[in-house]
Amino acid sequence: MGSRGGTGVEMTAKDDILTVEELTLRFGGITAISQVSLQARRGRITAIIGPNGAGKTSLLNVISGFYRPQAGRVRFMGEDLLGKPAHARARMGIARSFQNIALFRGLTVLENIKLGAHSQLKAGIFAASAYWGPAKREEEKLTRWIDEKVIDFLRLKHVRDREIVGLPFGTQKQIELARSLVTQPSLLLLDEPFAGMNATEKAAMAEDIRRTVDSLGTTVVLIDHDMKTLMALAEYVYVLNFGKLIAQGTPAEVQANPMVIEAYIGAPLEEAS
Amino acid sequence: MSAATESAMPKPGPAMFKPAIYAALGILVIAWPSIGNDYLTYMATLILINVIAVVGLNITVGYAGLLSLGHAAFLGVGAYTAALLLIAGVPLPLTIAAAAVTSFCFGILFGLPAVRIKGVHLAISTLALQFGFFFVAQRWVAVTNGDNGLQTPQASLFGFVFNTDERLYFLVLPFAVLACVAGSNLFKTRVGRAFVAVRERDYAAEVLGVNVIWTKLLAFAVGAAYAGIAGALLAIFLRLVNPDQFLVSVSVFYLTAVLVGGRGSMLGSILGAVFMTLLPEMLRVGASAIVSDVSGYVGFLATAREFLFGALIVIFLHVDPRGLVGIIGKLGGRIEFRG
Ligand SMILES: Nc1ncnc2c1ncn2[C@@H]1O[C@H](COP(=O)(O)OP(=O)(O)O)[C@@H](O)[C@H]1O
Ligand SMILES: [Mg+2]
Repeated sequence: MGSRGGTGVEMTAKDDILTVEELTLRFGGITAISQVSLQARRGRITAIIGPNGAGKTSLLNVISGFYRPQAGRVRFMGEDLLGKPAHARARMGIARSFQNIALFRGLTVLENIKLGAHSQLKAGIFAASAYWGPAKREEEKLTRWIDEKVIDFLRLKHVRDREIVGLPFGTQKQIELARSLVTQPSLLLLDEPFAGMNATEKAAMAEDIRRTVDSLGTTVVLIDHDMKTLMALAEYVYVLNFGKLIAQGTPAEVQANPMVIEAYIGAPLEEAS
Repeated sequence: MSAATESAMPKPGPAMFKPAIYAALGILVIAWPSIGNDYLTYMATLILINVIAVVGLNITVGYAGLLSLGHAAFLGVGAYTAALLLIAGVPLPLTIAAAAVTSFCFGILFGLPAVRIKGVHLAISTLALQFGFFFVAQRWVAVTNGDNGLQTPQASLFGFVFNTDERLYFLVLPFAVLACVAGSNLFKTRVGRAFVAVRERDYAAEVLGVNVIWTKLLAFAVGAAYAGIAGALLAIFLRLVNPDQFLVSVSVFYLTAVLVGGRGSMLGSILGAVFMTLLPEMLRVGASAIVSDVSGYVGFLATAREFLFGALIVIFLHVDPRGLVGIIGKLGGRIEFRG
């Protein structure tokens, strides 16, 4: 299944950085994901939409390594992903944000962002205790990198040394994006990056995601149930409903699909739920 | 670039407050034995040893969020290791290193439950360590000499014998300073950040590439290694090691020090150690101000002390969960969060 129907453009398997094949995930009696196959094309923004409970977050959790599926395969850059422990997937080049902001209290904004680079840093317990030589250098290098590339890129200078607690929601979302971008991941998974945002914040976030893809060549897979924002942003859309893939195609195609309209209870352009 | 240079923007409040405290503390600490008498030097040495132990427990409990009631057992492991090696004639530096390593290994071993369980359940599993340690220390008479314990020979380094209170003070001091410096260094790097990340949200830490299982074991083992060093120094300082020095109540003592001083703070560890070491003394002095002969009230004082530990934990958790550090921060720098 190297090509995706409907776009009119032939795509080969090597363009797909992420391949999900016939994935099934059950929680006891609930089938959260049922025989879902999808691909994310290199350097593009692929969206997964669907009403609440459709299985979108579960799908990301399988890709992140939190859930072990009952059937199916997930491959990333040609490598089987399901055999790898969750913490090893960051080093492979996969980053992610969470539906509910998952920043760390007790650390500053800068320190939170630095955690994104954890798997690329080397300091062990002794080097860290001495904070001397390579351990100090890698830390300073990372600080410079974040200041020059990430903090400015995402307009976080004014909160750099602040604690996370008490920062505005939109800013926290940006910090989470910053944290996931530190390592320049090949694949960025974003779980409802627009949730809880007002129109201005949504536009800013969409712009940030767009700029990320354009300047870093990152492949993005993002989840939302707000179609309106996605239509302008995503190049390809998959629609999940009750764990099943019910449609896929360009935003325009998906929008016109009767099954999708039905899943969204006749409100194709409005927010579901 | 320019945003990186901290010097461009002097941070108000505690950021400037902290170095000043450390500087004042430094001078006081070096001059201490010449200011005070033997008793004050003795107490200061005890405080320094407790600082090492509390910094260690704060790494495990405060920073990494792994509740432990077994810290005294790790001190015990270090103390017995040091006593046995000193008796065998092993040089002092090796003895202390061995105590740290042994306690570290025990930390890994007894940190294993932390991989699966959290909070109160974990605390209860660390109690097993506590009782297991006591059982072995008391019953394995051939090695530990049971309830009578071990007499530790006088420690010496290159012919220099640590036989006065002042000398012992200056033996312990560098270890306490190193413990604080190394402890705070950890949190400038990925190692310390991973501890906090695992405490706050282990799933998010995992996605960022933090090996949560290893990080928890490490946080346990590093805390235990600090305890091992503190235990070794205690064995050298008191010249005696016996099972009663490492009871659950001692673990509670250290846990109280962490909570009272301030979770997740090096300054808090120091304040907690000072406060808790002096507390029984203050209690004794306070009691002798009321009754002329305290000796009849020893049992009562011991009970009062335990009660006070409990009360302090409850009070601090309610008044300010950040402990003394939080209270000082409130008094000294309300501007803390002004960017
Ligand atoms: N850890 C879990 N245990 C049990 N059921 C779960 C778990 N995670 C998700 N589910 C169930 O799987 C289904 C899909 O959930 P989810 O993936 O969160 O949907 P979405 O993100 O599309 O809103 C829901 O019915 C949900 O209750
Ligand atoms: Mg979801």
